[in-house]
Amino acid sequence: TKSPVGYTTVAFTTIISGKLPSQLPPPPVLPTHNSLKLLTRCTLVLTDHSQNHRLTALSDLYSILALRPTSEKLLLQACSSLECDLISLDFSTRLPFPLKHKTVGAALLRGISIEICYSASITDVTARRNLIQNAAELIRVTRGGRGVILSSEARQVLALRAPEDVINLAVLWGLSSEKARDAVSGRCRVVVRQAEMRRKAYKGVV
Amino acid sequence: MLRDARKTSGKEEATPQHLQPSGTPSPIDNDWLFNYNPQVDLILPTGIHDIISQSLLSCPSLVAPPSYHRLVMPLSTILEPSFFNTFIKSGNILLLSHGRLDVENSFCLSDGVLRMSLDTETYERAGLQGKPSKFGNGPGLMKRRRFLVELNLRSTSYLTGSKSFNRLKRACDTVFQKPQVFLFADLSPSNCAALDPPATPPSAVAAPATPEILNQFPARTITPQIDSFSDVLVPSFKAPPNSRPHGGGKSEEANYHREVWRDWAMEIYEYLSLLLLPSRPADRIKAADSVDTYLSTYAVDDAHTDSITRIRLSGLVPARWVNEFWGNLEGLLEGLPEDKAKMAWAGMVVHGFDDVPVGPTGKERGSLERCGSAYTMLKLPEEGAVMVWDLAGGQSE
Repeated sequence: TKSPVGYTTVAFTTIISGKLPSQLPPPPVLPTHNSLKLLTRCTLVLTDHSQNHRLTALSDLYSILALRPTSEKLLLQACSSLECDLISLDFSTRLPFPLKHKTVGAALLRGISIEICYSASITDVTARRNLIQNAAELIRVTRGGRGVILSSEARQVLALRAPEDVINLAVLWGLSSEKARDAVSGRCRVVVRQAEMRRKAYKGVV
Repeated sequence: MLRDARKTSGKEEATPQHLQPSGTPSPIDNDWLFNYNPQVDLILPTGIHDIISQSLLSCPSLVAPPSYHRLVMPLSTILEPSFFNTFIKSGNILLLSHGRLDVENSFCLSDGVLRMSLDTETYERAGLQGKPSKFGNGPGLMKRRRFLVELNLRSTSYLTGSKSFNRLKRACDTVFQKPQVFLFADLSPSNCAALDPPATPPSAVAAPATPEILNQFPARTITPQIDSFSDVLVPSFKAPPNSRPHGGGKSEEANYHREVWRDWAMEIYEYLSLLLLPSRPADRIKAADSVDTYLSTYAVDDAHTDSITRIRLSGLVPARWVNEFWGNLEGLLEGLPEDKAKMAWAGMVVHGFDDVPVGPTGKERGSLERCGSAYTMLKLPEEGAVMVWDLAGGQSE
């Protein structure tokens, strides 16, 4: 059944930054809907190294866990050792560090996708400029947009755009049209599945 | 023990290259050993240089450095009997004119073949037999811009007084009469004999008379110019762990490791070029550098602070000599005590002539191949191999 919005799965994000409180904030209670699948998601802004041992606890509460590192060292740590489903950088401001193929490639090898959020650029011109620049750099560093997903981080419904529009936007940044379509639909489905598997499935040797 | 890692070349722009089976690294095969370079830069950590400086300055290559002349003369001087008979008919010389390729007329004499790269007007006025050059010509209006004239002066049709000789002489006197700057090097083994002072007793074979022009512009020898720079960031020259230039299979992980190695090799190449900027190393690699990331995000990976010594040799440096020089240096580095040898690395950048119309193997070159036959070599520390970067592609046949 095709949903009127154009999307089949929507995730509600809770952004947590700074020190995690000892009682982790619970996800919002989601209504049920017959055509949309609703998930909860947490974006943790990494500012220092001390919070990392609580990531498993956090990922048990939410369906998807995304990390937002703020420095190059934290990016390297997130890409190579921390357990998460996505790495989402804040592309609406100028990144203080350059993206390198070595770090981003390591994340892709582990199965972690990199996320580009486009909603900040809808209204703010400076954010739009930074987003285009950062998105183009990410696409160059991932050698053609492998492992990149697109999402809005919309706080209001006006900042949301239909899937075809998002695909066109990605083509503008430099992705090829197949990769752009994959970024909005295929890869996202992979991310959701992988997140589910990580929480529910157990790997074992028979 | 065999040196490890034979790295093979690829088709990219600047790529690490083969080691010769003899163990002497060289990006140049035997054809190129006739080649000449305008400048060679050698870089070493200062600690290592201080240990070997005496032996380096007294190594065989530097004890007998090559010499060259810088002549200012019109082209017709080469047709004068003393020059013609001594150097063109019997000896072996290299003569390169100063002039930008595809902009001005340039002349090059090597292996007895005189090559001229001329523009349309000069070519038509000179009346010599030539063909349109492969590069520098475009469609439409630019179609017949540059011509290449190739004359084999050693062939029997070019004797003093013969028809071809006179034709060339007439062209030189009418069209090429302006004195040009030439770089001249005498390649023949009897070089030393020709330039000895007359007081020495004559050898069994009488030394030929030195052409007057060479006495006018005396020989220059290549002397090393040694500079050192302190407080420079130096990388560790170690490839990232698990990365490798080739092999490993077709999996995504293996591909990732290969890409990481290639990126590392290119970063080292970029670092060497920053280190060898003409006057002094770039500001970005100084230890005390702190630049706003808005202007530059360049950073040297796993760097430590050290000081660097640069030995610069400029002039007309033969490629064979460069090969021997590098061989001497490697011998000295191997002779270092154990703990120093671990940290020892050495780099050598060999520059190329940009404006020569023909490359060393006789193939044409265009003005857009900007680096001539330049290459870079780096001996990695800790029994690492030697990496060679050679620029491929560009406007050459």
